[in-house]
Amino acid sequence: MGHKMQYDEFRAMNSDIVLAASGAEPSLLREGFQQARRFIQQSEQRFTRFTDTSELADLNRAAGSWFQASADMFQVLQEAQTLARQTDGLFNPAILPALKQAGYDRSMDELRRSAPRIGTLQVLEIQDFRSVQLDSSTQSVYLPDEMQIDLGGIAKGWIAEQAAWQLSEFSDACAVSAGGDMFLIGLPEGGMWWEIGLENPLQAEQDLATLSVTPGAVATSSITKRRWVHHGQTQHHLIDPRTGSPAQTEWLSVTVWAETAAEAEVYAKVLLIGGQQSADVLFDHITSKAYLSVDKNGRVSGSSNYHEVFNV
Amino acid sequence: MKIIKNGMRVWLTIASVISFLAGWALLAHANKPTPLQFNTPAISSPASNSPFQSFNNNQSSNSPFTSQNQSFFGRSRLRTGGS
Repeated sequence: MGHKMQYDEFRAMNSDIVLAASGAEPSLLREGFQQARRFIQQSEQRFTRFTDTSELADLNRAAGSWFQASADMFQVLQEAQTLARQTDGLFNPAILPALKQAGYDRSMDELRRSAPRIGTLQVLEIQDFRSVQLDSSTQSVYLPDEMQIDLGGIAKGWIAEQAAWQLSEFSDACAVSAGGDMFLIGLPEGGMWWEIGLENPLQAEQDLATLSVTPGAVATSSITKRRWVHHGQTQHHLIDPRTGSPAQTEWLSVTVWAETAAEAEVYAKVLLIGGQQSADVLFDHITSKAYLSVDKNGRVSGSSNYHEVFNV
Repeated sequence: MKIIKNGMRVWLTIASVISFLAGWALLAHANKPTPLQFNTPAISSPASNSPFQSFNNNQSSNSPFTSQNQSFFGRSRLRTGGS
């Protein structure tokens, strides 16, 4: 008992969610799965931009005045601001108007079902998320007037990590994956690492490699999955805050291993937008993180430590 | 004494022939083994394949929970590729 990895899979946050856990009685793991699942579903309601009733929608409507945030929202905003500063503004959640302008104004599931729109695209100037004010004494947030934010990726990573910590109270080893953004705690019984399939960005149903990683966070950002046609042009969800348009990238996907899921998610996104130039700056002499990129020919490269970290 | 020896020989011969024929019949009527199909990724670490097990012996068949090793047929359940 407890030797095999147990799984629970469902759909939330417009993503496939995988919960994995081992090292405890099945009934206990089942309780852990249920708790983690509840947390993910409740958090989705808080952070989604696709309903008018979420806390994020309330926050965006309150732009130009102070907003009293929940503890979870405030924590994600604090992490977002730290990462926006670390990446010199290349990570910028204030891209929401540009994302909508590019046609991503409904959930990806809805967008894929709808007909492409016709017209011309305007380029929007993006406000700087680093100008957001956070008051931790009152847990309040001030978004500058007209700023609209999307916490999609970073919130997904953060939710996966929190759900994993909750699940770890019921198991010796566990993992939570939210659409490929995942957080890993402990090690599978008898294993030295977690085995993770790296999707081939050119053929999503195939794995390009099996990554073998130690506990921590893994996230991948790709321009080949969330794509749609808008005003006659193929668009993707990765907005370059410097141009206000979908990023022109030299890589198809970037995978990052880091200590926190929010960090892994944000760095994967930033490296995909900024390319080799950003990687050289952000990963210079850093061993606490590693990245692996796949280019348009399917070639894999990465940080100086990527062979050891990903075991490929 | 000689009668007992001959009797033993006959008995052993008959028992051997019957056992051989019974084994033959059992094998002839057994199900044929089915070869497993593996999906091999371009680069992968050796997969540890084991029989698929139910989450819990008492669980109902429509339970959403499943149980298996990290790799199943050479492919990990945890995959990363952007969402």
